[in-house]
Amino acid sequence: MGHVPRTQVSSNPIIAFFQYVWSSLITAAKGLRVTGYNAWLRERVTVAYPKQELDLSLRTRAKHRVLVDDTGDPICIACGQCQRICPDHCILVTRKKVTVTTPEGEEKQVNRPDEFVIDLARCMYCNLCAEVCPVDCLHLTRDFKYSSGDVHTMRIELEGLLRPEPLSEYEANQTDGADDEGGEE
Amino acid sequence: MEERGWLESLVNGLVQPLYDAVPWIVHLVPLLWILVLVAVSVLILIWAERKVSADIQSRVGPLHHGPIGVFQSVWDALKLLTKEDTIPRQADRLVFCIAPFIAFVPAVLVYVVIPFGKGWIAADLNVGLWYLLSVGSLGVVGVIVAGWASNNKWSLLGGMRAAAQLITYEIPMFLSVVVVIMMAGTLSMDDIVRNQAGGRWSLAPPETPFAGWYCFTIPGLIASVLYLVAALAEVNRQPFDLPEAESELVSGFNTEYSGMRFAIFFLAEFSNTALVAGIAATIFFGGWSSPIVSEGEGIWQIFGDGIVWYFVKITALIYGMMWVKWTLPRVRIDQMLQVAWKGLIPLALINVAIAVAHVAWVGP
Repeated sequence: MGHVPRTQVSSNPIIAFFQYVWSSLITAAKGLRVTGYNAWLRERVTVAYPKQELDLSLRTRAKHRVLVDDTGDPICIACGQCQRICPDHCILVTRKKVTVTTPEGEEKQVNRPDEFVIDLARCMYCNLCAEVCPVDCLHLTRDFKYSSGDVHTMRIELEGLLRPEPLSEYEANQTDGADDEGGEE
Repeated sequence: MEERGWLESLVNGLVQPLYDAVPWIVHLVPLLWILVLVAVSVLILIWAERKVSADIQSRVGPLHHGPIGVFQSVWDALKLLTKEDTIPRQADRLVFCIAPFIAFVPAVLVYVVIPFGKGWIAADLNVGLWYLLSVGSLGVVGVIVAGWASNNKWSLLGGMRAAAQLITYEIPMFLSVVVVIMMAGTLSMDDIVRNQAGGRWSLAPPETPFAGWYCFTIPGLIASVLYLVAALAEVNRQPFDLPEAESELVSGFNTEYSGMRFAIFFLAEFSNTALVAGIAATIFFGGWSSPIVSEGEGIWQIFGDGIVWYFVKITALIYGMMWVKWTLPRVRIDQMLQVAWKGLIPLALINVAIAVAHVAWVGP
């Protein structure tokens, strides 16, 4: 008489039998009500991904992006802090001296990255590189569609990371969020 | 007119000589209809099963082949056809190979006595219901034999469970069908439906077209619930799918089967599912008789008695069976036997007594 609490089971075996039958029907009906609600009234939780996409969180961290200045050069100063802090050792930055002309007209020697490689296959998107960047040129964007069948194509050179276009609204939000993060916590 | 001439010449030139030469060929026509019906309905049922389970679990189910994935099971069938057909080395080869067909053939044969619509019955046997239940029970022989021939302990256990389940659940099933036989006074499936279509002896208001359905009498109502529970066990569906309990027996009797032979077991299972729903619709829910108008006029004709209503009822019953399947957890083997011997069989016996009283006092 599993479904009926022991205290409610009648001592009369015939009444107990009908209690048993009745409680079986009731418990089955309760279960059917739950699944019936799921089938007819509840929203589907599955997202049919390629046809339909979820709104990503503003703090989603995916592919890296290196900001460029007005002339199209990366504003990175090749300090190598991102390479040093990276827990996965997936960033490689080498330095070169470049002569640039400042808006005032004088020539100036600055550090610029010679080689800037991120192995996205090793990256765990912890955002430490973006937080440590002193000139705020490295960010993690919400662009996550770069999966590949060949692991070597996940090794992205500087050209693949440069993003000349201005920040879109959500990326700007994301950057602000990342900056504010320390204060909030 | 031109088309009719074309058809006439086809009949005169091809069909008539064929009929003259081999007159028994007309008997193949219903057989062909049944085979096509079974094959197509099983494909639809497999798709429906996946969609219903997806609904219940708030998923979406198959999507990509055809509109809302209707061709998914066609592709699955093609995949199964092209798969390697492995036979275990220690298996009893002959028995292993014919077991799926032993399970499948009875599942198709029983459709012979199912009245799909007015006059849509392949053979109106005067022992139709008896034939249906006895031939329908043969399918389990295939399951037992498959379990034995696989030479695998899981398969054998699955087969043995199927045998125990069959022996147990035949009794409440037959006892609930007996109620209908008593009320109808006939074993012919067609006559049972006609009795219901013209009857007016139930709890339902007497003028309504569905007043004669046996599910609206007290013993018939109890019998229909008992029948549907026993039928779930009879066709090895959850919560009574112990012969193929995945969590205990790998895949039960069909563990060693692959490719087309596995597909035939699948076909038999779904064909049986449709069949028990069909029997329940016929003997309890008025078969092809319409619940709205029996003989409609004008636009109402499409709601009159006919094959459509039969399929509507079968669809509703199968949906119910799927709903139960994806709701209730599998029972344990001892619980399963307990449900039948301590629950269904006493109830069915009491119900037979009620039916005797019903027939004696209210009239059939």
